[in-house]
Amino acid sequence: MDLGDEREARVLELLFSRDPGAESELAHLGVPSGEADATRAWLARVSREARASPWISPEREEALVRRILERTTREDLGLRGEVRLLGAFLRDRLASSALLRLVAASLLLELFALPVVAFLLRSGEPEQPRLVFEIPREAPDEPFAPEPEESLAPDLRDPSEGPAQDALENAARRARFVLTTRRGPLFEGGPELATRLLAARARFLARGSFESWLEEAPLAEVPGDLERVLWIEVLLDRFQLTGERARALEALVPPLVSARERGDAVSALARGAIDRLFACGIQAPPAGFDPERLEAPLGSEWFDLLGAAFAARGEAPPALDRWMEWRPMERGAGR
Amino acid sequence: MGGSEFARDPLVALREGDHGPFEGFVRSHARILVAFFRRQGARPEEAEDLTQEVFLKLYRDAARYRQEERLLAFAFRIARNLWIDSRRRLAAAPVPGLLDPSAEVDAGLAPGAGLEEGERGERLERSVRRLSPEHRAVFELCVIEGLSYGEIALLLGVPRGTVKSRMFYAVRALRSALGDLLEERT
Repeated sequence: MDLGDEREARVLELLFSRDPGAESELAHLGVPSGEADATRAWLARVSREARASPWISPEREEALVRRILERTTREDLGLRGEVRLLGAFLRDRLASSALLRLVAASLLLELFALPVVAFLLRSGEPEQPRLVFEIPREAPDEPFAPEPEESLAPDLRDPSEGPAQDALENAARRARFVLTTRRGPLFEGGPELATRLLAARARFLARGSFESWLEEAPLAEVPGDLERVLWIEVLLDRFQLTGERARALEALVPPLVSARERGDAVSALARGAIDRLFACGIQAPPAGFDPERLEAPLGSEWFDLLGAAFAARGEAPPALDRWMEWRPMERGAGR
Repeated sequence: MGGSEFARDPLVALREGDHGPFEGFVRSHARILVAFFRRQGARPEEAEDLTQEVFLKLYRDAARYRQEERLLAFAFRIARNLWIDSRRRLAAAPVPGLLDPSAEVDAGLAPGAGLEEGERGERLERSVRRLSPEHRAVFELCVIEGLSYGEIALLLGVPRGTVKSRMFYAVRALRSALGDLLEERT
């Protein structure tokens, strides 16, 4: 800055100065009054132009002044003042920002409108089908299970009314005689189930003691129809002599129903055992059944069929021979 | 303009329980401070918030206020510090205007918009923006805001002679750019 510039800078400073002595100094520097006035006028125009810019609208300026005064000299320290201040702040911010208005609208929509819409949609929906799982009280039908031709009758007859009760009692007496006098092999069965059943029947008739295995054995494992027949016969002996009905009958009888029709010795024995069931009233008899036509227990024909059944299986156990030897003693005694 | 326009210093009056001068100061200077912040590059809402903060600080500090300078100069000092703090908080781009030599005022918010003499205002603004940041700061504070050389020196933290030389070069540059235009009106 040279001397000329230095002088102009000082002149400018004096023009802005509020010092009362500025005018006299300007004169001392030799600045013509017209030049000083022209510079002042130029600076005033520049200042006026710059200040005239609309940095803030009159409305916003008024709002700003009001906001400042409400937080300073006119501050309301009560709750109403705080609420008003908050409201004014929110209004001002919302008014100044489109993005904020969008956010606020979205928030309001989520808070109020969406629950209403959801409620309306839900109320208009058809009722949802309900899945109910229940365990049926009764087992479903089994279409392939064969129905038994006859069912066990719940009402039993008096055992004393059974067929050839006297003959059975005589057989029992003779069995007791054999047991007490000879202790013969009649009461000893073999390893086969059939001969064990024959021996058990003899021991029951002789001693009157019913062997528990006849009730407790797994009946599902009974190997054949012959064994079922022999098992039923000893159970019927017990029913006729003591009146006690064995639960095992219910498992043993149904498999024999179809065995009656085969035409061999075992099927004849099966028919005889089932007819005896009818006669005892354990099973409801078919129409036309005549209990008087039944052969007495342990009869001759029964022994013949027993021998034929074993022979058909190709078996000749020693126990069977002893039963066959006993038969003449019972000749004419019936089944 | 400034505290000299008031019979009593507004903060002294406020301390003594008289709210009138302070309210008058708010009414007359709110627009000036908003313009100041806007020229620095503040958004409209930010400029208003900062302006409000200036007056709140004045009001709260009235009890400790010592009348050592004009209230307007004191207010601008607070405004300048608030602006610096706000830029630091935002970690934003360098401050335009007084505090950032490289930045410019948003052209869309340039003064002169909406004036009848829009072209003249825009040309003035463009010319001011072309000044160096140091020259521009001194020019704005002196010509537009009405601060004295001494007040500007205190505000910017530079010697008074520096303010004087910067003002000289700023005026010369602007007269070169605008002189004819403004002279036409005379």
